[in-house]
Amino acid sequence: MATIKVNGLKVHVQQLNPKGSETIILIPGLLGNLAQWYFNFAPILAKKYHVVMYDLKSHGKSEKGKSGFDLSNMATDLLGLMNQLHIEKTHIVGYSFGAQIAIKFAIEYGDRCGQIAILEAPSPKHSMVYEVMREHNLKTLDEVKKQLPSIVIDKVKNQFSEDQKTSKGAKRILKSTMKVFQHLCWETTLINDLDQEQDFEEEDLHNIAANTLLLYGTDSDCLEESNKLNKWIPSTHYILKKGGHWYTLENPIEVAEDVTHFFNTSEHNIFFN
Amino acid sequence: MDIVNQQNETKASITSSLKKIIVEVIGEDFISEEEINIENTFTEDLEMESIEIVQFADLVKSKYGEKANLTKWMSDMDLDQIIHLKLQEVIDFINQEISGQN
Repeated sequence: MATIKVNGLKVHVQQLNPKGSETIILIPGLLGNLAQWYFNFAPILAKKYHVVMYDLKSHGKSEKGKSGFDLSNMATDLLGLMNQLHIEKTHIVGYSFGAQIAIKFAIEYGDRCGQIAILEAPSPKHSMVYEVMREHNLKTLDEVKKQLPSIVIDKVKNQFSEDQKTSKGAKRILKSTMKVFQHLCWETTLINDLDQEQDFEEEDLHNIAANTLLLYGTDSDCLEESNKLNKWIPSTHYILKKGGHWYTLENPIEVAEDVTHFFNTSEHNIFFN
Repeated sequence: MDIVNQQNETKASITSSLKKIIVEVIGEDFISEEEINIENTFTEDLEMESIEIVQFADLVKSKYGEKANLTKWMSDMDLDQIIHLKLQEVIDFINQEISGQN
């Protein structure tokens, strides 16, 4: 398995078409991993571009971290990954939390950033922690940390059929998922980091030089953030798809084609506001 | 050895190697080579997570080289095809790529 050391931790990396003249780095969402891109999404971009996928720390096959899950540190991890791979400048595609990291990177390291495709970035302040507290009527962060693993496992269990629920494989997946959540909630600063995150400053968004694709679902609960990003980032192309927050995961080929079209044509500035 | 026997030998060897890789990815606490059948599907029968299939593809590439590029081969499949992909299909693909035979 391909791993490289970034800021002291082993990071799982997969690359396609290393000979491509320009690089695109794909950042998955929170609790996801690079498999979301690997089979359908990335190969479409790799017809032309060098594509780099990686697992965030404590996710997928990357090493566990203890702290630094705030956007600023996650953007620094991305910079470290680029330095290790000798990538001077990159385009970025990010989904959900990964899209927030892409925005933060464009703000903090603009000179290393080409164009960015933002797929379903929520408001940094409107995080999973906020959602869980609201949905389950939890009052404190300690309650979130204690209960989140069980809440998520119940959701995963519901996705299995009755036959699967008793199978050895399903038990293995549940055990492994539970371990990831227990680690993230009980052994890392993730919940606190998410809770303390602030919204992007309008001035910072206004200073983003990257041509930016915003792709959201019509039923997404992140539309308010998409409108803010569309208003403040100077060069945006905004696409709405019929679906929800999961549209990208459910329609990887279609989204990959939209993203490829954006990267291929945006250099000509034909459709920016 | 005649051509038919050579092909069978190659497929048997690939099957054995792939079973070892699957056990390495899933973990021997959860599955043994004897429990794996070439008719098994990766996601439904072996119940592998998608990141484990990535790891499997990576290890296959390490063992058989760029010719056995599962990522490229699977990129032409839709999600439904990937879900129903059987071990036998992967064995046939690798055999074809490394020996030019079906």
